[in-house]
Amino acid sequence: MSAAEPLLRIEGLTTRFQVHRGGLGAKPQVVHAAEDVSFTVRPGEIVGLIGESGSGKSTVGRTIVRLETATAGRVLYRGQDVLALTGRELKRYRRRVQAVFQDPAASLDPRMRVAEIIAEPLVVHGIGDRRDRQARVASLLAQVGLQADALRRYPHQFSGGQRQRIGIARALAVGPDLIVADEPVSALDVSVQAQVINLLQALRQEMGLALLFISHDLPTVEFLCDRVVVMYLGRVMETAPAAEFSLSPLHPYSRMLVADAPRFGGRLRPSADQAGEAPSPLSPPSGCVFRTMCPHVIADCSLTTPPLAPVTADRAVACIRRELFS
Amino acid sequence: MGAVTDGAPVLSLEGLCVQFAAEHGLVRALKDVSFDIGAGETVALVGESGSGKSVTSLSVLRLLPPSGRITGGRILFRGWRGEAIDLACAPEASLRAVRGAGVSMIFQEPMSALNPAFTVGAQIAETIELHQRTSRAEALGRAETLLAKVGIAESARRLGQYPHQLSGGMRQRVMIAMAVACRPALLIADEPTTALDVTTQAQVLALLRALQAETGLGVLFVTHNLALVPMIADRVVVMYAGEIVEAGRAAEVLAAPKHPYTRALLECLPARHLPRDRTAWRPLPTIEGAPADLVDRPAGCAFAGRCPIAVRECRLEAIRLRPVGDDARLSRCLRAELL
Repeated sequence: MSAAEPLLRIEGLTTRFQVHRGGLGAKPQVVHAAEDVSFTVRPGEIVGLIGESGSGKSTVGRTIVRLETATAGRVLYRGQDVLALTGRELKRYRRRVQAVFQDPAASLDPRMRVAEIIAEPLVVHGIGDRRDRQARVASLLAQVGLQADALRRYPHQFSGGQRQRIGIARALAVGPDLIVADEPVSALDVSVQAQVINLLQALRQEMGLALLFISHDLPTVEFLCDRVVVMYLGRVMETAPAAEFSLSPLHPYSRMLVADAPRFGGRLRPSADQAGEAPSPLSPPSGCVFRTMCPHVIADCSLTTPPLAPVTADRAVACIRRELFS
Repeated sequence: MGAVTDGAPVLSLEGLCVQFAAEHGLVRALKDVSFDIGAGETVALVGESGSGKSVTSLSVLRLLPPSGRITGGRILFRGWRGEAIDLACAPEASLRAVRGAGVSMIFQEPMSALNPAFTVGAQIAETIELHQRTSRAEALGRAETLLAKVGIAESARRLGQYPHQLSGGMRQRVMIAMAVACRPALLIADEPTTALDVTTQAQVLALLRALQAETGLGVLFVTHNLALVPMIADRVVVMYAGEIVEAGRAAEVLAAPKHPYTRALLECLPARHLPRDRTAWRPLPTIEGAPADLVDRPAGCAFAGRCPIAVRECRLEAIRLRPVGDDARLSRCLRAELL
């Protein structure tokens, strides 16, 4: 693989779900969870996927790790489309790309000891013999900053931050190149968040691990990530280097996101008085999905969906009002 | 500070102590907690899990779970008319009169506080009827006005809707409408915007501010989000291991903390390290060690074991919360002047 080739290339990824609402006989409705999503993750890169609830950021993450089925588009891992993989090939892919979730308590089996939890992926993938696995588990535990006596204990005997470390150790066990981490620090106390952020940074630094970091918290994304991908109602609104994003958000949605994020030295904006109904992914607006909330909307915004188009070499925006960004 | 109070605060906690009975012994969840909230004032209560911030907010209306017990101190509520009632020992009947009418409360998850089987209008009207003599029609009329006031468009139509038909932000607005329906003097808001998106959060906070300016409501705002504090609060109370470790004007405390815990907590935040130097990798500061044991409390300062500036004296006996520097600042640290 050449240096320029991304580790992961998402192309036009679309994931829709059918939901049944309104009782018997009602027509199923379609949730447009992710629509035409494209971005890349380079080896050793930390990409932040940011957006509010209903933006589709978790769906994109879950589709990448094959927990959801894509409706259209491609997910290329080192050039190979992984959406069609089955059997042994899918298993091999899952060794390369692992997942960590928000609630570690819910993703660790309460009846298993930590040693078994971390060793399980090694067993599933047939890596090493019993003794190799024991040694690997011990070194993983040290790597995520847990004491050796943790091995014989159960998940409930740990704090939230420690459980998240166990989840990370389990994800690392099979030696992945990429971890998809969905809100991994959101449920943790402030002082514990910092520890887990440091651990993720150290893993990238020491092992060249790439990370797709899914979060709603702008300062954390800005601090940890190299690039950000901003989603709204299933679509990518903007991609930008993390260092530039908060200082100069371009898309009208990005601007709103940055303005409303609580900030030291920030002020409460005067009320956006009347609360209208925010659009739902069940029936996204035609054209630009953000137009119903956009302060810069014009008539043309309802006509076509704006493509994500480059503004500079490393920034792209999905908005037809190009004059706003020059 | 926000509104100037005409003397007496709306709420005064005086030496509040709370214990929980647990398998491994008595958990001393609150130890000697004292602070005031004035009319029109917002006091933010911050801390991490186990700090006692939610126990404090639940104690005010005596909503502690059965294993929890107020073991000392007073909770003086004065309300609009000024005569103080001690909620810590008031009979159940007086408490019922205060709940919702004198003091009301909103929580993080409005869905769990709203009844899914009744319309929004019926639930707001019920609150009004519980405390005031009105007809159902009158109460519904008031409910509609309230919905409009909390920024809900088409309030007449919304009255007939059920909670599941509303978005999260809209539900929190309904909760606020219900909370202010009987013109309380104090609103306790426990992480009211934590489950909301940032744009919705900004709207709900602006709404609370506007209501407060109009009514002179005192607000106790419980939050873990330190960045919100200077935006919404006049004063801040920082808790650690069931004790107040620092209190003072919000902007000043966050700009120049006078307790090592407050300082360490602020330093952990990624927001404090932005824009970040991208040429070198530097880890975020963290707080080493684990929180103090609330069953077998250490003799001295509860934070001493994790404190970078602790000395022998810190571990000998309980540390007093004392004035430090300017007029309004309190710190429970022997070495506060070093910070």
